[in-house]
Amino acid sequence: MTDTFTSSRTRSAAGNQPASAAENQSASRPGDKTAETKEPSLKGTFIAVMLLGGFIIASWVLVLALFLSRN
Amino acid sequence: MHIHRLEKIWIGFGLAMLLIFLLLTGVAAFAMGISPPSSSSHENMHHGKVDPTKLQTTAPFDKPGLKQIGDNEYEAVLIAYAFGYNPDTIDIPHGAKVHFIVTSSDVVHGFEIPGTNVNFMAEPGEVTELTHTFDKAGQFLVLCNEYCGTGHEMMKMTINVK
Amino acid sequence: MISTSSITAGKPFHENDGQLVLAHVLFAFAALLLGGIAGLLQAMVRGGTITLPHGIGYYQLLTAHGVLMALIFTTYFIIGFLYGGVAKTTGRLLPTTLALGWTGFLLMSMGTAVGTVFILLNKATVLYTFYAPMKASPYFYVALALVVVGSWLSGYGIFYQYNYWRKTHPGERSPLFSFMSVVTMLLWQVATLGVAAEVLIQLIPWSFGWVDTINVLLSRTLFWYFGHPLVYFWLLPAYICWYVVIPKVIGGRIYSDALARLSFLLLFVFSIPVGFHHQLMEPGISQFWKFLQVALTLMVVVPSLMTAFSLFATFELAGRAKGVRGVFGWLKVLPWNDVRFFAPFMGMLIFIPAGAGGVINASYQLDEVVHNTLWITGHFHLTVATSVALTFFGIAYWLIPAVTNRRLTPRLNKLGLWQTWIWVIGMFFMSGSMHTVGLLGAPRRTAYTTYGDNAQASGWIPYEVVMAIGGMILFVGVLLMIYNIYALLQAPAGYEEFPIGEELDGAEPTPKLFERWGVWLGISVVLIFVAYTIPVVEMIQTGVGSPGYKTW
Repeated sequence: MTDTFTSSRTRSAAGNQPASAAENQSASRPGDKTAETKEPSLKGTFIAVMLLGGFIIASWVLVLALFLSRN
Repeated sequence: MHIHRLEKIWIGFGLAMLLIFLLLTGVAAFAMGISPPSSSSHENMHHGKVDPTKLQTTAPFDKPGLKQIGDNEYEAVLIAYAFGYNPDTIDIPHGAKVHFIVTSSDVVHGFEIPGTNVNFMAEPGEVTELTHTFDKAGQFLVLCNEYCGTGHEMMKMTINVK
Repeated sequence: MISTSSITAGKPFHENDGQLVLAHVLFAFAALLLGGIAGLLQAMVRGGTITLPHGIGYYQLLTAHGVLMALIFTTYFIIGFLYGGVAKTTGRLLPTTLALGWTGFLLMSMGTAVGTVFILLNKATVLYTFYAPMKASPYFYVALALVVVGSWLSGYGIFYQYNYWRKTHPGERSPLFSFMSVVTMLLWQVATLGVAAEVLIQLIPWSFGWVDTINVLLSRTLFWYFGHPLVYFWLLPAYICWYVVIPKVIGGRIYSDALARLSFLLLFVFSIPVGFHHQLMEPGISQFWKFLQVALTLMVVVPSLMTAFSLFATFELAGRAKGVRGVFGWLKVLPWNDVRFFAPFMGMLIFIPAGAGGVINASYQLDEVVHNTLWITGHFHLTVATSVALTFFGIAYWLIPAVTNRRLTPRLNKLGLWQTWIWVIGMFFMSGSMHTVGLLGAPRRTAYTTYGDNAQASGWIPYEVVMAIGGMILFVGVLLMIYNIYALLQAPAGYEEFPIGEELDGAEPTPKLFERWGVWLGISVVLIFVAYTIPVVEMIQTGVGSPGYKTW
């Protein structure tokens, strides 16, 4: 537990050194985007937010149903 | 500023969702008349206002209670006070359409019939109106759902639908 | 192996700046402890577990709980956090900034002390919404005014520091943290005008007896003009952590500086002209104006939808940069056992049901189902008491050591993870049963009652017992948090990173328009005037005054 904690913090430190990252930028950093390169894949993000949207709609419809049943 | 293609889709989806919510509530309110409570448009009321210190001499609050105004249609004129309602019981015929006309003679109170959509505020100086049709027979609890002082949790009245 | 470059070789936080931050944060947690005690007792009374000894009222505790938690804990923590981040991103605090910060702290603390005394004396049992015509001691309102004025000075300090930075860095884009702090404090300045007008023009003259009556509807409207942006004042600093701090903590990058700023500006513009959605169930406001503000309320959801996308994208891209594959593979490489991530993450996760509940509350007629029921209490115990509070707790674990030049130890990190779980579990029981029993109709802000053995109301009691159990678990969470704060102050000397994320490489520039404050303030003012002028003028013209009452 202690080890993982330390290593995650080390990673976080390493991931934020622009100087070292600059050299091997193109292939290894999918987060990279310039006007010419393709957008990064955000499939997981999209599915996650759509699930969130679905949750909002489901809860809203549930309360709407309750409202209609009591009207 | 760059916006990812998938984010554009997501925001479009979100806007559409919110617009549909707005449209549904708007149509229900403005086309079908299923609206939240509002100021009373009762004939005696000026802008739905009333002097909270003179309720005893102001119609219709000088005679609170149930009054028939049409075929199975009633006005329920009620005064909320710390810590009760005047009158504290009303009997309503089954299936009646009731226009609640409510104000407060002191602080702000609530008027809620749990299990129904009747839920609104009673405020001094203001007169609230809400219409509800009682399709189910039975005894209904009315409770105050706005903190109004030490006896708040005891503030209630009863509606009997027969 | 700890990398030497960022973990150990950081610059120490300047002592003068650190003291200001620490004073605010410690005051906040003292309020949390007192408010937590009040909360525990209240939950137990409502569940029928205990009866209070004579002399202490349920509603008095409820007032203390609301004021200390919702107004004091949040405001102090926010100001401390923002000053810390502003010092971190714009350089040492200027003498004027420090002076404004300390003066604000002093005024707010005087206000808090006076207000708390009057609540304890049972002279201000009006809850933290202090709705007229319940009339508290005038000194309670004076105390509130002191807190608000103090917070204004704190805001001016942040504006002063930001302006100085911009003057000395012409043409440069301001640091994201400072920009967001300015938006938060600007929102606060505009929003508090409503409550300041209510307190100074209406409540104080009336409670001193200089005028006999008060326009109740107007006072409620001024309160809710303030009351809704108030919840965004709590939320925006949590968003700062999510947008700026979390990317660094997880070893990723800020997804988009421009979109982050845009979402803050939209929150600023749309969070104020929406107060009527708290007044949907009351008379005196016509359907048109209510509905207009409902529409604006739904607009304020949009920047939060953008935020959700940005956060997931930050997580996904950080995972991809570490070589993770699969649609959700990035979830596995998030630092789950780092409290600096885990506590705010649970806050984000819980913001999903919290936000969904908010959309429901604002949906016009649907409010009839939930208005003034325990659902509402459950709702804001998810938003402010979980999403915001857990994020603030997560911040405290690094902020306190960072500004006192100590470090977060693995042991404290572990205790922090425990604290987070305790909070989430306690809130699951408490807020979960509040939501459920609220849908059944149980009212909020009400002491133990069965309404004379009414069958329906008696059926709510089991849920209220579960609420009390949740409240007890949460109180253990409060105690552990207080211990953790104490232990952080005793932590070994060293360096703790103040995590400030950097943007992805190659991002497109942020539009300059985003820092033309006149434009955004102008849009905000126009929307406020459109949404409020006509109904407020009508209230003033037709309103009937009400005398004051002390009903407790």
